[in-house]
Amino acid sequence: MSAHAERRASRSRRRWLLTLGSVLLIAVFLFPIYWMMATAVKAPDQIVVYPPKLVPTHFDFSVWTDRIFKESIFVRYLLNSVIVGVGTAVLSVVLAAPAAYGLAHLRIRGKGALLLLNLSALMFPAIMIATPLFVIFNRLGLANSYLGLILANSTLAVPFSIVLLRPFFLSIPYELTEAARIDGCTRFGAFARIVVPLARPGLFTAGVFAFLLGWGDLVFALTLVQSDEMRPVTAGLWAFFGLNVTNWNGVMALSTLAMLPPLVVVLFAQRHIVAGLTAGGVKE
Amino acid sequence: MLLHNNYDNRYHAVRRRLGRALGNYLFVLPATLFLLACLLYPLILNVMISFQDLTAGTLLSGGPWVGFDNYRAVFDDPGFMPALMHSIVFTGFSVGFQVSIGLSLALFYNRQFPGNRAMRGLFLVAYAVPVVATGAVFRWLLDGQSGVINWALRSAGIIDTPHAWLSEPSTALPALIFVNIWLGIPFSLMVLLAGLQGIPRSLYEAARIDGAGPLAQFRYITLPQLRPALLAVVLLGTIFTFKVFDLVWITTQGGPANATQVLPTFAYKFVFQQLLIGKGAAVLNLMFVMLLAFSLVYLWAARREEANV
Amino acid sequence: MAGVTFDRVTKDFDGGVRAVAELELEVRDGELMVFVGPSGCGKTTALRMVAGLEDASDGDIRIGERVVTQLDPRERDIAMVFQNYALYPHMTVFDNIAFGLKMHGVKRVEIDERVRRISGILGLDDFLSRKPRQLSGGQRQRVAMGRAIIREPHVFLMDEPLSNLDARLRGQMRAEISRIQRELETTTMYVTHDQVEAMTMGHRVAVMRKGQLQQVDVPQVLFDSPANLFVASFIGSPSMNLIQAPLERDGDELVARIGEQRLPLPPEAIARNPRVADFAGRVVALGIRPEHFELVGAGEGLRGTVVLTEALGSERLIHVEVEASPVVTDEVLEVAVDTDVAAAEGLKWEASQRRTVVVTRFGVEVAANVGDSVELRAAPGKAYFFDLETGRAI
Repeated sequence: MSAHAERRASRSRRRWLLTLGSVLLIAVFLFPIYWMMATAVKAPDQIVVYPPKLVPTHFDFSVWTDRIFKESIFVRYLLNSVIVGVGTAVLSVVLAAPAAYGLAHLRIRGKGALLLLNLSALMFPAIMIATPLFVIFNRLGLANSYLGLILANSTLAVPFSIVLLRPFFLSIPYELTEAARIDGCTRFGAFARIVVPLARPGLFTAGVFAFLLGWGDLVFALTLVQSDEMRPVTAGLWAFFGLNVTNWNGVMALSTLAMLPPLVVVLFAQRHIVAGLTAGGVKE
Repeated sequence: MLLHNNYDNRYHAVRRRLGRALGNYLFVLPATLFLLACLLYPLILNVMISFQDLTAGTLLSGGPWVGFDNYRAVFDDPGFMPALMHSIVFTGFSVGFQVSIGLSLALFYNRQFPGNRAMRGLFLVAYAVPVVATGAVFRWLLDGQSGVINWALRSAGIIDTPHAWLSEPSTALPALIFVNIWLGIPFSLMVLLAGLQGIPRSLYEAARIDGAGPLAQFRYITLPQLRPALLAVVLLGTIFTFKVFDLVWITTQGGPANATQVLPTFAYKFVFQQLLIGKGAAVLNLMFVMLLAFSLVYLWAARREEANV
Repeated sequence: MAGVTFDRVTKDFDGGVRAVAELELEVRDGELMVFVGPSGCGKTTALRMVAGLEDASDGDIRIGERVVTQLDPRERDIAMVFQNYALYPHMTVFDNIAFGLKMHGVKRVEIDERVRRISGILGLDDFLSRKPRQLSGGQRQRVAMGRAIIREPHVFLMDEPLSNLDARLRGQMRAEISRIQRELETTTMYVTHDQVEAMTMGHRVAVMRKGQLQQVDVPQVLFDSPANLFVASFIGSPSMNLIQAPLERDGDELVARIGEQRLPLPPEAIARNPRVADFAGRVVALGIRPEHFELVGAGEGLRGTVVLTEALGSERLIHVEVEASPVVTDEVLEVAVDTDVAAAEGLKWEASQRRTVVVTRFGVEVAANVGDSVELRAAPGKAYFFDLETGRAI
């Protein structure tokens, strides 16, 4: 081989080594997730064994058929999570998008104060919000309701979405709004017809993050919900865990169930999310 | 020239101008109103509650004002200082490792090799898993009898007897930190990777011509250019980690024997278990003040360094 | 059909910057008025106030008989071509052009017909289904024009529409825009910093500086009778030569002492500018355009040495160094800096040396070599005098 070809070959060999390394890294990092799903489908005698069986050889779906899909409460948990997750996503994006656009382009007095309010909103521990909300919702009769959970989760999702969306709107030239206003749009019309379609990737990313926030929340699910029927799957899993501490099969099965919808969403939106973090990330 | 009554004209002019100014505010109004109602108001309430003796009995009617009694009770509580210490240790080690590992991974995935883009996206999967589920899995993995981690460490010869990591007071906090690091890696990875990709290649080329080797390039080009990204990751990571509740609650609930009690769980116990709502609110306010102070000091120090450079 | 009237319009920005100061101006119905001036002179702000994109701090703006000062852009019946075109990236060319009509509720059949007619006129038929990012600069510019024209508004507003095009395309589009405007007879406000565009396109030209209107008139009058030092140095390329000329009375004559020389002002110059006589004993600015010089024999004119000749095909630019100080007032420096940042320093240095280079323009038959001694004189009636303190023409 010529020197050129040799160098090219070694370079490509090196690249494949990196790929191998990456595969190993991913395997190690994502092992817990694999383990979760594996445990969920293993036969009971393969679970609490030592040394642990890394690859299941006997499958047993009884936990799924007998408990999860039989006792309708688990499906109910999932449904609750879907409602809360989607509700949070929709409410947050609807509130945050015009606000982020306004903070990006419009002449508003007190813009600095609003931005500061936003950033500091991210500093509040969920419990700090849950405590007074617990008191307020009880007095208002909003306890144990979907709306209550959606509102509670949005208090964290809206500031986060605004911070995420503002750079997106900044990158859309204000001239487009001006041209639309001259063409006959109202201020809001220009926003809705011209800017929003262009900001779709950012809005989508914000929506996904808000959904994940709503779906994965535990604090509000534990504190603002009293009845079992209204529990999202996170609190449901915790309750189940409390009663079935050694039933790893069941716990992992429910965990997998709790994990699958957001996982699907993330895998589907993965490309957009990475782009979202790049554009909205640290270009301040 | 069309003649309007001058007075009439002026009135319409002012009305119009107000209308236009208001139009702008309408964009931020919904979000602002929402945050004021659902965030600011509750927080003010929280502050007020911390000065009241609010318990189960007085929940709906409001409790008597007790001034700083709640805060004094918190400081006097034997569990407070340990909880604070644990929070600091937990946050410090978590963020430290998250950022270092995240940076190493980012450097790795910044290189060109087949499949790198697809694979680095896979790290985001960890983001999708609800913390509840993560906690459950790691409890399983760290289990004293049949946990995989014990098996792996024994096979590698690092330990000889299995540990019940999360059940022993001496190992619980480190084990928790370990889990939290796992949780935080995707975020660090993504943000730092984005930062790395923003560094123009021409800077590295110039450095190579000037004779800088890989280590020197990292020190003089990569790190300085990554400053804003590192700043964001450390600041946000610290804030998020300091206030983490779910993970601790699921895996250890603050035990065993308060070995992993951190401020959020400490507060939770007061409010939702002992229903000493006033006291719990006091703890939370203290937490917020600490976070705010940290952020301000951090940002101020960062800006000063930037000015000196 | 409608003209645009500025009635003592002022615009102040936050921070105390006064972008437009009490502008009083009328753009006549059907005319194309060019607003020209260096960056920051307020021309774009004035345009945007007519568009409704900026609020006037004081004063009124009228389109036709309607006072539009407080109206939203969409209520003013105007159309605008932006410097960066501002085409909607996610829409096709067809939809971009049709958008305004859609907003005004025009029926789809009629939209279709009108868009196709416009695209025919502008040569966009092949691009109707493309998106802006697939078009060249010139094509995008035409789409922007189409979007403006199709609405048949009362006023066209153009904000430096040609500045992003290369030189040759710019020349073509200049002619296109002029032609379209004359056909449609729509009142047009055209903002540019390029004075060639100003002189060739405008029915009238408004020269602005620091928010104030300097002079508004047909191009030829601006060229022949500039009202002040700013207009005199801004209009014309190469710029008018401006040198300091101390005036003295010598019996009946008025004499300019330039360097060592004492050059009498011809009586007809004084007759045309009688107030010059009042400036005896003071220094005035003497302005002569490059094309208005005559070469004369020894002893009859301003002496100087040729330092550079530039052959430009049909004419020659001859740079002559004379013993005279250039005018270095603020206005002149501002114009110089607008073309070349270093020029201001050069002028000041020349002033300190009391030597300056005068640019003259002759036909190719005039031969001159570097180092030659020449004597220059202004052609009859082509010497301009300006008060150095106020900048105004005498």
